[in-house]
Amino acid sequence: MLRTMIRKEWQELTRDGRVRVLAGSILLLLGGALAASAVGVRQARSERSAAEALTRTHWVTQEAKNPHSAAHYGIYAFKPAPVLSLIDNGVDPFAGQLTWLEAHKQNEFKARPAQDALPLARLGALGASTVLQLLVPLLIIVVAFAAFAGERESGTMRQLLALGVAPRTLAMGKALGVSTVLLAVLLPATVLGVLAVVQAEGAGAVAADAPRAVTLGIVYLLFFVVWIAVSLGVSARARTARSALVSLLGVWMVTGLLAPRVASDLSRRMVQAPSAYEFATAIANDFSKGIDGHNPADARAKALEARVLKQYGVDSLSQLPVNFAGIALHAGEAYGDSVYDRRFNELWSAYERQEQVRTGVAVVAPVLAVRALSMGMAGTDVAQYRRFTDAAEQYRRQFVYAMNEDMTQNAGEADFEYKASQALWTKVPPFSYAAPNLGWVLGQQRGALLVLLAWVVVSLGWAVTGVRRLSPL
Amino acid sequence: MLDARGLTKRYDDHVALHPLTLSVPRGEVFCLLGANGAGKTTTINLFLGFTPPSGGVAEVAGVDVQRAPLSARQHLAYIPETVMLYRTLSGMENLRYFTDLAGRPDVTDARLREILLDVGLPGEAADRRVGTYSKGMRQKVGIAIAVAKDAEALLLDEPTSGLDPQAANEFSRLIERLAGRGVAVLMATHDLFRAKESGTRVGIMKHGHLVQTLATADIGHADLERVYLDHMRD
Amino acid sequence: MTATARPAPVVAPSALREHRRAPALGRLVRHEWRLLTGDRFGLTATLLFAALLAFASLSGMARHAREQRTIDTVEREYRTRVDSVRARFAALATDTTPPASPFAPDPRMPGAVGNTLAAPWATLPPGPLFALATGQSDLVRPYVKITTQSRQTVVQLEQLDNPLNLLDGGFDLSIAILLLLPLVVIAVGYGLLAEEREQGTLALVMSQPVSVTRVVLAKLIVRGGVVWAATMIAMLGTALISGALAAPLGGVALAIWVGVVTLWIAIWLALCLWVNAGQRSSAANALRLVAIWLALVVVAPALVNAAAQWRHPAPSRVELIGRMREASNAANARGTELLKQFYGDHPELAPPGSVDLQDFAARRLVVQADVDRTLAPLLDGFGAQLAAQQRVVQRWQWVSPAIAVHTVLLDAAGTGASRYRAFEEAITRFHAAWLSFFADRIYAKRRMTTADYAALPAWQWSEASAGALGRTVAPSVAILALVTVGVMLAAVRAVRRVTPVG
Ligand SMILES: Nc1ncnc2c1ncn2[C@@H]1O[C@H](COP(=O)(O)OP(=O)(O)O)[C@@H](O)[C@H]1O
Ligand SMILES: [Mg+2]
Repeated sequence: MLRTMIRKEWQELTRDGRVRVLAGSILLLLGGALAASAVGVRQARSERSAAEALTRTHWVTQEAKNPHSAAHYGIYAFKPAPVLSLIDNGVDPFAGQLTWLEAHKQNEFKARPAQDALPLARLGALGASTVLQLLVPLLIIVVAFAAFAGERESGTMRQLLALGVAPRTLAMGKALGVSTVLLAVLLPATVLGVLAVVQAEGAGAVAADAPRAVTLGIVYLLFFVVWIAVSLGVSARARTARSALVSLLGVWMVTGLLAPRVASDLSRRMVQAPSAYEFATAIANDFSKGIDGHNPADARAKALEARVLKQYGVDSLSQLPVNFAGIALHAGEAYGDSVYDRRFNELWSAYERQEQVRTGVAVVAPVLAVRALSMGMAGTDVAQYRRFTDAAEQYRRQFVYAMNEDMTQNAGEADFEYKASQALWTKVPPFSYAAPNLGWVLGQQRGALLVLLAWVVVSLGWAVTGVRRLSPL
Repeated sequence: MLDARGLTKRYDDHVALHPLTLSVPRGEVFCLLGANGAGKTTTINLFLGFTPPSGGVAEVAGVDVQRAPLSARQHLAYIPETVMLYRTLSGMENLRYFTDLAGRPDVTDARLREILLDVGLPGEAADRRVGTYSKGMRQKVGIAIAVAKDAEALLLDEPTSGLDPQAANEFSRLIERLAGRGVAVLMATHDLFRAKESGTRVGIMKHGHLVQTLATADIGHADLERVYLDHMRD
Repeated sequence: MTATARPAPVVAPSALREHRRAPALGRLVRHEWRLLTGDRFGLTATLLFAALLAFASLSGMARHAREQRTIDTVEREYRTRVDSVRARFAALATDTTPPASPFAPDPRMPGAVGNTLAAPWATLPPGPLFALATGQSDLVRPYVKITTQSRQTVVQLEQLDNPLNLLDGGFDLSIAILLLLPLVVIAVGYGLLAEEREQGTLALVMSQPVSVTRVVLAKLIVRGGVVWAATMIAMLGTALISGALAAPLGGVALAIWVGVVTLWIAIWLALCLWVNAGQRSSAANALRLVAIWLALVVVAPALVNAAAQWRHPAPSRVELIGRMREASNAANARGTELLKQFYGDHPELAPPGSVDLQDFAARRLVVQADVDRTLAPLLDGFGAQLAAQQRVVQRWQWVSPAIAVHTVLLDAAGTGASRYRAFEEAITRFHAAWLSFFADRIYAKRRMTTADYAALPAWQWSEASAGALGRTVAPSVAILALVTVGVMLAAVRAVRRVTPVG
């Protein structure tokens, strides 16, 4: 019985030119997007590893110089391009790709790719994630809107129910029919995706990314389940196929198109994040109230001097067994660290609260939850961006500390005339960053996960009650 | 008033209407009888200019429908099987609109109300949404449009199908009254009884041919049915 | 209208028929208005649209106010700072004691004055219709501190923002117009004729002596008019409240917006009409129109942009870092040589007495100048590639009117690529002037004079002329007008053939 129904649905749907055109376009766009981003990601990865190697070479091949000058010369950190970003490049185009790690200063990440793109790009690039989040739901609507409403309108529902077909069987048949059509698109799409990943990074990386990739797939499947349930639920309740279609298109447009933009505006208005000027001014003010390693005339530096003299039980700087300039630099870094910790933490937590506003909007527009999870799995969400910038900052602090420590221990009377050799540069390990595991990402995105799961449950429940009360009129 | 000369309609290789020559003068009610698919609706559509003829001419008040459809339609009123109106508007608003479209904005609202009463629509119904109307009431609004327009020719396509006998009877009376005022009426119908009652002449159609024309005065109810069934048999 | 044509004079028309006339458009319009108010879905869509327009207006005005406030703050900061520097200079002008340290913020030292003390902000006032279109404004910082550092340190226009918000962009009137407005037109227009056909009224209408185009015209006037009026109220209201008319180019920009939005609505009405001329059901029409929307507004711009990027890829900023490092390593290694060469070429800038080739400030400058010279072609490459991409887009904008609408709306609002590129170029020029003003004095080891203070280069933003704006948008507007007329004609031709029978 069920098989007969699925076959009939399949025949009916695949005979519909619109379904064929839409499904074909989706596959085509998906294939094109994946191919293009596979090339892009591969290029970005090789470019970045080359740049990392180069900045390392620049660092270790410095001539003998004062360690503090070396710290000023600094090292560049480059944001990695995760392989799965070819499915969802998330905030990557709008996140800085690189930063300069130098003494005294935590620089912001710079060079957003969007800066070098046209405004047209802001209308939305057609990446795989857009196809999955925007176009596949449209396909679901097209194949499902008439499921019940159409049979009702044409009077065939009377026939079916009069024949003694249970509404539940009818609903299962419809749901499976729709899913079969969807699978016909999703299976080749998955193959394309895996091919793209292999192409971008080789089979080894696929294994490493497997937990994330599988979770990514599950997230999208759940999203499609929500759409199938909503579409069938609407179709079961609508009097005509037209009203079912029009309401579904309305929901699609409002949730898929408007919700992200409105959420972005709302979050900006509810949580004010500082502008570049405000941020820089706040940090400058914090510093002007404090000490500066370069400026021994400063009152705080005087206090430091007194403290150090007392600590070593001597009464002039020249009697110190260590170099005072190094100690002053340490103190300056420590103070700077506390300033940056405070200000950057404020900044990121403002962004986090903005994201919470979005999760709130996701309660009415599940696509927002799916986007958050999708970016999370791809490694391109704000949380992982922050995690990376934090790691880069920790690395900066470590190597600047190593430079100052060398100065403290070895500069003696020479102060800034002291020169360290290349051995010191190679003692600094190269910067390496390991992406967080799946559990960490899910923990970050637990709000979105909850919202999505709630949507699955509620939409399925709603579809089931709609089908239970199925009436032929 | 309604004249067809060699009027033909072909769909690809299928002939829906073989050359038809027919004239319905003022005051006459001409009833088209025939099985489903015989070509009745095609004939009416050709007079309305809804579909171009494959040959011949259809004229309304001497105007070639094909050449000047809008002029021809100035003289026509059309009542389909179910008069479909704007559901969210009242009967009165619908009548006002169609009367305006007919080129008679000069007919006052008071006059339109009179007409609605005259065709037998209950007074309270005039300002109710058409969505709540029965089929009989809609058909009456259809007639009211014809009256308000002061149409000289009336084309009806199975207007009484699905009406209860009393409503059908009321409707037929209205048609007869219009004919009495000099309107030429061409009506497709399956109702032999009403064709004999209201019609001046009946034409029997079969596979796109007008196979026989009879004056109703010359024939009884039973005879008409026999002639009709005889035609259908072979 | 052909509806008024008299019958062929075969038979004299009867006296009664004499006063038949084609229905006045006003009456048809009134009828269509009644129909629209009875259409729950169309009404909901229109009201939702109006609410969203209001939301977009309010956030636009808030955005505009914030931008203006920030720029005011920045400019105030500059004035107080410079006033105090001038005052300190006036007190010190005759004091010839050397500064405490080479890094001291001494208003007599050109290095300190040019790099920190009097470093000016180059600011860009919000564009005339800033409140109507965010455009690139959330990416670009409209204030840049001009110092004597290298070009690629100074000319940095990145705004600080949550990348997630940048990804989604805001919801403003330009987005409402570009993405949403067509959908609202579709919502009120997908059943233009199909609905009449489905409810059976089309046959009755067409049995009357009135041409379908006239009836359809009334429908378009009402349905398009509602959308048009709502959009215009939001647009003009936002523009007037945010003071667009007082801003340079405000009037021209607003006129361009009114024209483009009107054409854009007309295009979608025409598409609705064209789709309705087919014999399909209204549901099929709705789907077809949404598909057209998707193709024109979502897919085509993305593809054209991708093509432009593929054809003229932006240079890599990641690679640029490596190049910059190499250039600065090389220049640093040749510092002494470079400085010697410089003083050889510019004897007039040599300080009196013996030339100190180890002088920190002069060496830094000459190294920086060398790095900037090496990097200039690379840095110019970013702007050049972007301009090349823009040309590709211009060439392909006929693929979808959405591209032209987007470009024109942003360019007129002053938040598009062209104005920000002009800003970046102006900053680059101003930075060069600023740098050379101080470099001369640093090389010559001269101190600041009262005359120098009077002659400090001042930042001045000059808005493009109305004519230049007109020339920028003219090709796109012309394409839009052509597309509108073309689709309209095709739609009207198709509608002429409409019959009420299957
Ligand atoms: N649009 C069309 N295309 C092809 N054949 C048609 C079309 N409209 C009507 N026909 C055919 O023309 C013939 C006459 O139909 P019609 O005039 O509707 O008959 P009826 O007498 O029942 O009103 C039928 O055989 C019908 O199938
Ligand atoms: Mg028929």
